[in-house]
Amino acid sequence: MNIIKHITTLVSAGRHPVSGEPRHCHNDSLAMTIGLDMAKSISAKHHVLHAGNPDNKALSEYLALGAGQIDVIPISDDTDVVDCLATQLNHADLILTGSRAESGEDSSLLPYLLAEKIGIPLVVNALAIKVKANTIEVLQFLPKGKRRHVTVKLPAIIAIHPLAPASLKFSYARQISGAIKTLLVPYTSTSTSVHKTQWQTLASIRKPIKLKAPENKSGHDRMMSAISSESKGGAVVNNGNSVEKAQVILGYLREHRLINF
Amino acid sequence: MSIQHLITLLFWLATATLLAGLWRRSQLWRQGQSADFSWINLLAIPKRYFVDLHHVVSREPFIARTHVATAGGAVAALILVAINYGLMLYWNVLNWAILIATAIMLVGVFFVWLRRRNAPSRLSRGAWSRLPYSLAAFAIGLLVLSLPVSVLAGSVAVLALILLMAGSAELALGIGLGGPMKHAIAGLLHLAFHPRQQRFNGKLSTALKPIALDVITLENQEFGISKPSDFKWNQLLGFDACVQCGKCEAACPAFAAGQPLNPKKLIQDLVVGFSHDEKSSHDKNSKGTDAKFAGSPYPGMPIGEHSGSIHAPIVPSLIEAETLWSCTTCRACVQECPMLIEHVDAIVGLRRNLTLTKGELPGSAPQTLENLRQTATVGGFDRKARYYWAVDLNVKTIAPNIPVDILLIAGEGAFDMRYQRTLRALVKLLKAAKVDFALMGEYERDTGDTARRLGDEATFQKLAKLNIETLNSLSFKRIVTADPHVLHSLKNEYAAFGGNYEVLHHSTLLAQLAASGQLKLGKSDETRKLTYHDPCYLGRYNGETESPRALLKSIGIQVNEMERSGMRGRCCGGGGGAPLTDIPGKQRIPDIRIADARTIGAEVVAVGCPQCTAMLEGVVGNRPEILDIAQLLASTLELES
Repeated sequence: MNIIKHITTLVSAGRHPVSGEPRHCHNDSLAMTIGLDMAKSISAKHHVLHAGNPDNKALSEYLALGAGQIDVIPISDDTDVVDCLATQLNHADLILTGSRAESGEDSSLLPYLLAEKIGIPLVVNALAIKVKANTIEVLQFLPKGKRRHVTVKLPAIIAIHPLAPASLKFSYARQISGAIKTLLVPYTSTSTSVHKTQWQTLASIRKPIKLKAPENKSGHDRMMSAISSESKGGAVVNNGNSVEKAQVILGYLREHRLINF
Repeated sequence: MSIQHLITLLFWLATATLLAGLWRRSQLWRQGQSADFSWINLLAIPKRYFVDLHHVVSREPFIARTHVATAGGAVAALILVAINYGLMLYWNVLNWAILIATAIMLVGVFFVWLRRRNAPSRLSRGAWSRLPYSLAAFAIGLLVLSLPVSVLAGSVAVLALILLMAGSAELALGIGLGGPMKHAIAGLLHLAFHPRQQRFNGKLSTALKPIALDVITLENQEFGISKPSDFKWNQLLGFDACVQCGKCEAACPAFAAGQPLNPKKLIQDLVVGFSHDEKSSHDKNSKGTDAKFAGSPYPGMPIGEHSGSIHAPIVPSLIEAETLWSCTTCRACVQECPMLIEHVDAIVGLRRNLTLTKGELPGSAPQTLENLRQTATVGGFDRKARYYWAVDLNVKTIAPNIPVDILLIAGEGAFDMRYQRTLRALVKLLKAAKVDFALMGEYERDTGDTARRLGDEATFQKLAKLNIETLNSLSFKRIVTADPHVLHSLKNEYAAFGGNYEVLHHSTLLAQLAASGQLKLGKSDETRKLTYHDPCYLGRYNGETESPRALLKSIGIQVNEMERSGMRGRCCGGGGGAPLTDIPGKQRIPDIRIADARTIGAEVVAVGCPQCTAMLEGVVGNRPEILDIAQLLASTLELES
């Protein structure tokens, strides 16, 4: 018995880090490809949903990648995406999304906020999804080559990991035959994303540098820390309130001279 | 009824059979798409046969002479038979002429037979093996029957008549049943209705033809060629002209490297595809298989496992995608083909379907196409970084208000640190010649050459239109590039989109400057043995083989030619996106080319293309040094000053 009737993939408008050209967000495309394959194999309906500008050129790349039709909730830049997406996801049995957008706030918090808002479970860093009797089993990415299976009841949100094994097929024929449909839903924002209207978007000039404490370890130690999941030192802080925890992190950064304030 | 009347009857019977067969075969060709053609070109067949086609065939004098004797004798005999027996004249003097013609044919057939005894592996066997015998039957039969009647005993005449009938059957049924002799009729018609008519005007015709990309003209959402019926009818006719001589196979770098491509089999597979129709036949087995193909298989793919029909998708049931992605688009097969078949057009047509409709490409090709779409560079680089190598050279960058004589376009090689040395050498030479030139700077987008060869016509056309818009806003007289792929796109393929420019390869310009005395070159101190590797996109695609050699000679370097050079040069393996699709084989194509250089003991290989440079330098182990023409020339300037 098939419990999944509707799968919805949330896609965001990406942006090439070097040229600044609008493009599909690779991670969202992986989620969409997994969703499309799954919908085909269990004969469910697959929807692609985007909240933003329906004229964004990035959307047509999702059509090329097989979306068929993209439903767009037309919102302005200062509207909070979470609220308006939540209103459109009532019928979805399974919601797929990438882990992190390439533009906008790019905080990777959207799946969490959305799950909280709708009140359904969330599984992040998913690599593959298997449909069981009335649940789904998700293969979850863990660091150092580890994986684990997570079983979750539906409806649920699954955020796909950027390394999920799905091959994207870009087809010009699908790009020009697909449709972008603007949803005419009356939507009034209850909260707005602060400051967003004042942002300026530029192509990145250089890659961000990861703050990393210098290590004085032997080659063997480095190899062992790369292949085992044992702690590299440091400390896990479970106690205390958020201010105290933040102080620990700040202390660590100062100790290793990663910040100087 | 006398023997003479029997021959007349046989002649008209054979003629009728031939015409019926031609009508039947033409129905197969007409399943293809419509194409521009002109009936008047039928009159051009003799010139095209004796000049254009013979030019290719005569590269192998033995078989050229054999064919002149065999076909010449046969055609002469048939014309004479048509006059003497067809018109029922029965003149003795014409019988003597027939005797001479058939004797010549018989000599030719003898050499056909000789060659078949020690046939090279590129020749197809199967039905082709019976050809010396059936042709001999025709010649002997006709020869005996054209002897003076008094000499003939009744039984000998009957025997000769039977031989003549057997031989005539080969000629008359060939076209209708798809036997070996179909090449004669299809080959001549192919000369008249060839898809690239410019080839017969003594010009090179190497530009791919654009396809419409708007949705209105799109049938079933398919782009490119999906089924045999998607080919133009004159392309189908061209495939039928194939004589399975395998010269393409012998020239194909992918075949030599053990990749699953054999141009000859590809053409034969397409013939199988368009000459079978699942729907029209009663039994379900009317899908044609490749089991009857009697030549070399695609390396690593056994014969007999693929089948197709006119309206069935070609990939993968008839031809595997890997076969199409193995091609380097070097055009060696087209260059060698005595029947002037256009293999590369067929391959790119099929690739267009895989890319534009299905979006299925192997290896790193999808990433490359995405880079081209999103950054207008092959490697996904920042366009601003393309001319970083010239930052200390004090060369101006072109702008709409700065008119220059020569615009230097660097191409994708500009991002490669190795090729930057070549570009810097070129700038040095242009400065020495006091040429008014400028770099293109961040205006430059990729020409889309790789996208087009990979079948991504949409990305190519987008880039072409953007580049043309940019170039038309700039003021320059000529374009110079060190990249033959850029040269080919700009010079030959942009014209279809309204971009007409005078584009020169750097070797052409430097040869002109050196000849006019504007560029004063010294003598090279290079004492090592040197050879020159012709880039396919410079030689075969643009006919430039002389300038690089003339330049090397002018600086006192003797060029030792490798086994394949000039217009027949061997590919480095770098074209057509082949390094991106990276189909596995038994060895790598550049290794084969370096082996050519090693065979003649060359210590330096001169090149004129960033792809060739990268591919040949990628050969591991002890190999000759790879130096661009520009580098060799620039080093003589240092000696002067």
